Amino acid sequence: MTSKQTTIDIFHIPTNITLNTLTETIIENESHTVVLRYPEISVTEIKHIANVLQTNQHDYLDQLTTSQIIDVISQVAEKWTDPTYYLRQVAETVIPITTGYNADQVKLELKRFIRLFRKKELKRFVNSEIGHAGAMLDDFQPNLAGGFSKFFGPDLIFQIFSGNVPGIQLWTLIMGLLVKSPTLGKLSFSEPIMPALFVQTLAEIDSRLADSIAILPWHSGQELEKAGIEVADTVVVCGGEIAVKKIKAQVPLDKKVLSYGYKIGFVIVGREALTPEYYPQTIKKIAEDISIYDQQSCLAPQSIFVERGGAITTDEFSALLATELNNYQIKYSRAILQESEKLAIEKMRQATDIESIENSRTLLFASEDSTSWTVAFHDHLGFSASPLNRSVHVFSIDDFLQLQPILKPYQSYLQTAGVAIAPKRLFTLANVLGKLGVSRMSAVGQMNHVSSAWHHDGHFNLLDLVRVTDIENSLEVESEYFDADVE
Amino acid sequence: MLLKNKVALVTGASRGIGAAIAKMYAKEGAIVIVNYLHNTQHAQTIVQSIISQGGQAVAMQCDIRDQQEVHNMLQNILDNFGTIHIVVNNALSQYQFDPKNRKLLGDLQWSDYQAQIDGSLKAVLNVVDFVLPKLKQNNESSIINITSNLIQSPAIPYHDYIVGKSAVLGLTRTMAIELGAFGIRVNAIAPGLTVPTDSSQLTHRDVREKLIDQTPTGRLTTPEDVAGTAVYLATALSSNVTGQCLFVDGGLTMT
Repeated sequence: MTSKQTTIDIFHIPTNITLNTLTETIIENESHTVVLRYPEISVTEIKHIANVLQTNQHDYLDQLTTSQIIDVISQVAEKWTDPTYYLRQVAETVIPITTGYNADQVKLELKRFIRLFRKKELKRFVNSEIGHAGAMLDDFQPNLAGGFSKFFGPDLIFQIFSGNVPGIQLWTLIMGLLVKSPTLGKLSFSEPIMPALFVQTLAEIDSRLADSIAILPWHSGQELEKAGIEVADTVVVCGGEIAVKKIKAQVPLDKKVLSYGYKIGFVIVGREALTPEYYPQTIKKIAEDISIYDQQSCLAPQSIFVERGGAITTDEFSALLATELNNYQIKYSRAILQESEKLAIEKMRQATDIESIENSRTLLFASEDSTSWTVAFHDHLGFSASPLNRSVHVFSIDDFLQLQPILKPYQSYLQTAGVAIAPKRLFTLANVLGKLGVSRMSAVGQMNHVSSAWHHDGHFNLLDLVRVTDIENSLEVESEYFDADVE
Repeated sequence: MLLKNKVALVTGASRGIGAAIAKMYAKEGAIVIVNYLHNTQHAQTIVQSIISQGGQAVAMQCDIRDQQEVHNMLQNILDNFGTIHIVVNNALSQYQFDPKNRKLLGDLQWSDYQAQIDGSLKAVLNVVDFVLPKLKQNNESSIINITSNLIQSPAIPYHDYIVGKSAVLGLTRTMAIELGAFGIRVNAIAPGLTVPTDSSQLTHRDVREKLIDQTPTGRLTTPEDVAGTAVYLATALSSNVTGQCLFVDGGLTMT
């Protein structure tokens, strides 16, 4: 059988820069060979690239209005909404091979995701934080204090991208463009393809805009990151807990750091979502939240709180969830794991087995002869992170107000809660969760699908990047005196 | 072996179809509970024959129409084997298939119907109600209800018997719908006239030959024929098959 080969440049540099020869990494499966090409860069080159990026930004990106930038990005997104667009086809073919994610699932999720960057969504995104279609990013605008204000983006953003979920990097990349800042980005080798292809499309539509972006993969170390931090005034870092901590420690106090690290999602299911009419779909949706990208995104649930008193018992809930996860495995199989990941799941299973010896109410539901899915049912209140890759804990609960002391120790890790309860109780619960640090509540089934105006980890997106310059009222008034023609 | 270490309860397994299913399950590696009503000796013979061939089986007496007795038996099974994976509801209230002396519609009392409903529908419910929480905890469980091909084409109108067996098919379907999400499959087997069995002794040669004439395969059904289908429905060979009624009658019934 002849193997198909696809070669992809997993980097982008401004057109007015040339780099040395390219290195190749090869990833293959039974039928396809993917050649990833990238340059090995040096500290000197990083510094040079940073200079060029800033010049390019000054000459072009800085001159564009926010709506012009939105126009270009939305044209990129529109291209990607076309199933026949060649780069989308490349992504759909290659990403499953390089990441191990199920091909059909990647296809579905990419097409959902890319739609967040169409014109209407971007306008909403900008309006949700900056207001007035981003006018304050374009010019000084009257403020409520009687003066004028304008937002300025960073001079240069150094972005360290994560590689857990395809396309996730586009969020911060686009945020940089919207605040008119150049980006120097370090790509993760785990998933460099989607950002590289997206910027390639950007270059097809407006190469001068793409000239404000340089994204390159390199293996994490010391020197190059240090250089990246040095040339930038703002650092955006996404990744695992240790990686994020390490970078944050290196950034001097006079520079801004925005970090997006390890988070734990969870689900709350009220008895009203477990009626004979609703329980099947409630469970199906939760299985989706667990299965999409194998819980690798920070949005996915790791623990589920199920309220007692529904039409089905909490252990029946777990059994039903197990069957649904098995169905999902048949439909969209989980990625093949590394040994260490498998081991983590085996450990979770063993711990559950041991717990069940001491407490016969504890039950383990697990896929046979594989680690494809795992549900650990605990008929008591508790909370636990899971080893991911479609493994989850289920806890029984009598009253959601009991969650406070359970979740409090994990406050800094809480982010998304998938919730299935009636409106009467929603806001009381939302208040409890909000106080505990939960930053996002979504319907079950939608945990992995953020809205275009979401506040990542409870922060502002654009507002956190920009700084404000005010022209105070006194100056505005006083300056009138210096108008020779005024009487 | 297709059923290695699966725990299977076969009701009414001291003779006929039930005994054949028990033997074939054991041959496929299952731990078989041979339930019986009266005939301890028959049940023990079945168990001994299984054990002598290297299989695992135990006989347990109970009247499956009696909820308390059923619960005691099931608790005994769970205490000894930890779980149940497969339930074959095969037992029925004593019924003589005697085409020449059957009761006509006007002769039947409600108590006749009740006896058949108790022996079929109630018996299934007695077993399932108690064992359901356990079945739900397994990744895959299978419930097999034995009905009859007479429910589809009642060549001889045994009213009371056919009513009872028809109810079992209805329950098979509704159970399949509700339990599918738990990974529990529920199916029925509808055998044709099965020989040799005690119940069919009074169905004489003339009627048998008539049936054979209309049967595509040209023969009646044997207990082993039914057991083969019961193995299929209990194993992963029938994955994703649920709510079905398989007619094992040589093609006499085509649905």
